[in-house]
Amino acid sequence: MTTKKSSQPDLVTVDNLTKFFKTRKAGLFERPGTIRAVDNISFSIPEGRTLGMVGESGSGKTTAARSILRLIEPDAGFISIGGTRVSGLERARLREFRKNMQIVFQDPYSSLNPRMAVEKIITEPLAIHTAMSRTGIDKKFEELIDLVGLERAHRGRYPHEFSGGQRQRIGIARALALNPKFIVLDEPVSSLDVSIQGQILNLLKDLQKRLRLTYLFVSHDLAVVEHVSDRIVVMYLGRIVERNTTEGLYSRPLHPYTQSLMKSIPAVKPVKHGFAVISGEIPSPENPPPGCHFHPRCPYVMTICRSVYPAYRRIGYAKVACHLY
Amino acid sequence: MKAGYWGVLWREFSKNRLALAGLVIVISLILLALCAPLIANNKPYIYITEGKVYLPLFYDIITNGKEYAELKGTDLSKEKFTGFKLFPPVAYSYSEYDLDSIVVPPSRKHLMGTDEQGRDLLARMIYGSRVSIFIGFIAVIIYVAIGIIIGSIAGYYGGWIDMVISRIIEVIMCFPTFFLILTILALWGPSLASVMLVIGITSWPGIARIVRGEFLKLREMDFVVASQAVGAADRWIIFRHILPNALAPVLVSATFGIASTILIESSLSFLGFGVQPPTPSWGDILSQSRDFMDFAWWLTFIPGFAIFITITAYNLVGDALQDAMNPKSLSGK
Repeated sequence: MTTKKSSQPDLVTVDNLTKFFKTRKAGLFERPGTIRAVDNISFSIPEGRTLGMVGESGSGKTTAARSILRLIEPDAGFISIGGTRVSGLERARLREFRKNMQIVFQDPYSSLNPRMAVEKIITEPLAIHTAMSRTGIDKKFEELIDLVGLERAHRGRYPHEFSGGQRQRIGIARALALNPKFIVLDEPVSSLDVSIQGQILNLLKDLQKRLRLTYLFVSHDLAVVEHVSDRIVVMYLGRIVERNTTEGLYSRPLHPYTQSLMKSIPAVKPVKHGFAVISGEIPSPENPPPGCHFHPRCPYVMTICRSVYPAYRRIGYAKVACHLY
Repeated sequence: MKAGYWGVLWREFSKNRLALAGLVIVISLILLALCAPLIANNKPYIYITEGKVYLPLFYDIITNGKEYAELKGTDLSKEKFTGFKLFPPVAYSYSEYDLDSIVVPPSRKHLMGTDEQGRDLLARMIYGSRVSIFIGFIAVIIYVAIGIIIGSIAGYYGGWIDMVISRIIEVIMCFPTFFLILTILALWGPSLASVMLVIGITSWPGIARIVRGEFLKLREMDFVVASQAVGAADRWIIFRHILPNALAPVLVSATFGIASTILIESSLSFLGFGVQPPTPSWGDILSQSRDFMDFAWWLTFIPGFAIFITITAYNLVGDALQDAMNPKSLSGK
């Protein structure tokens, strides 16, 4: 893989996406609690490429991913996919547009309706969006099932008769049914055995090449993200703290948070770390620390970090929000 | 192996022997109730006399109570030996008086004895099962339908709609249902239809609650989100994804509901608020037996035992269904 990818036009552009959740009703003497799940994030994905989105649980990555597809209604921000301003679409037009953007879920058990046969699950998008004939749907079904490496003979089976990996293939086939340009992969391999993870990742890469798909790959697993992504954004408490190419991020992580994440990847040959692997828990997103959100866990913390949220600084291709630079 | 959800459910269910026995009883009772006129009737299936073949029982059923004109005045009862007659297993009707045998204990002639008017108890029990089962099913169908509609609305839309419906459910659940039913029947006058209707419109909150809970749970599931992600309409999601998955616990509740409705009907009939004579119902037979309890044990024991067995059978089936639907037994294996 080469580093020069910016020649591709952007398929997906997200600007200042924001989603706050209210946690409780306002009482007589208290203000309503808000969780800043996604706080002003911006990025873009060139066509046919993969953007990795990394963060611990609670960092808002799943909310961000679902907000882009408007499965969760974002509070603010601009979303454009393939030149269409998704953030401004009204209900009926949005439903129509959904065939261009799809999602693959983390849990292959809850993402398939237990009462539907595989054939029905995979062809559901066709039944909703197209007026295809029975034979047309049949043909498309066989095409899809070959594409993801399942057996045609299993068309009448139900989800519980498949393994986790096979179920995830079913989920991928469903996402591909309407030939979308953009697919959000929300931790697609996190709940699979390591031996199966590789197969699914290779399938996803293969499909991307053949169908010119653009991926947003959400994961907490840095090893997995490195394997599939061209660029990576690192999220912490609802904000993007660092953006870089995959090579750049893994060879020279800039943000102290990224650095500590890198050190927490289990290695075959353990190396001595300069400082302890990331300490403490991610703070509550309802009540983030003032200044830089990472300062209570940061080994390089300075006075300014405690009061001022750092602005993005451009370092080569990379962008980082840290007072160190 | 091709087994859908219901296939797996059946496999789990059939592991429970007691429940299978319950299911056999339930199905037999339904068949008995459906075929009551063919099983207990004082008209013969076939009557052959002077080279002519008559089918008095079927003629009666088809023409809704008419008799062959040429047989008018002919005594078709079993004791008169004229021509060839083939009778149903119980050769008595539920309303046929036999004043020569009043309060006779079970014997070969009357397998369950007779009551104070000389009516065959077995025939009355068979017809009585119709009332119990008919009321049980219709009332439950009414309130399950109401419950599903109201519960779905509350669960799918949430927010203030859910708030209002939930409060109404809580209020109605506080009513002492049995006395509410008694009161309404006192106003409307007792009849089969009003018993069903009243049970139907007072018992839905339980079902509505279950359905609401299932909807709240299911609408967050990834497969529902997946359907939203492909742009499915609300209607599509409710009917294809949420409702089919929410129905299983409703089925369990409905099974128990039939049992409790039969019990309510029996109690109402016992108190004289239920089905009106001469239509027999188990509760009514039980109620009539009070005066003869000292010496006619069969008049109390048989209807009481029948109610007991029926309720137990439905509850066994409901219990086993609930166990079979336990997610643990359905997951993957």
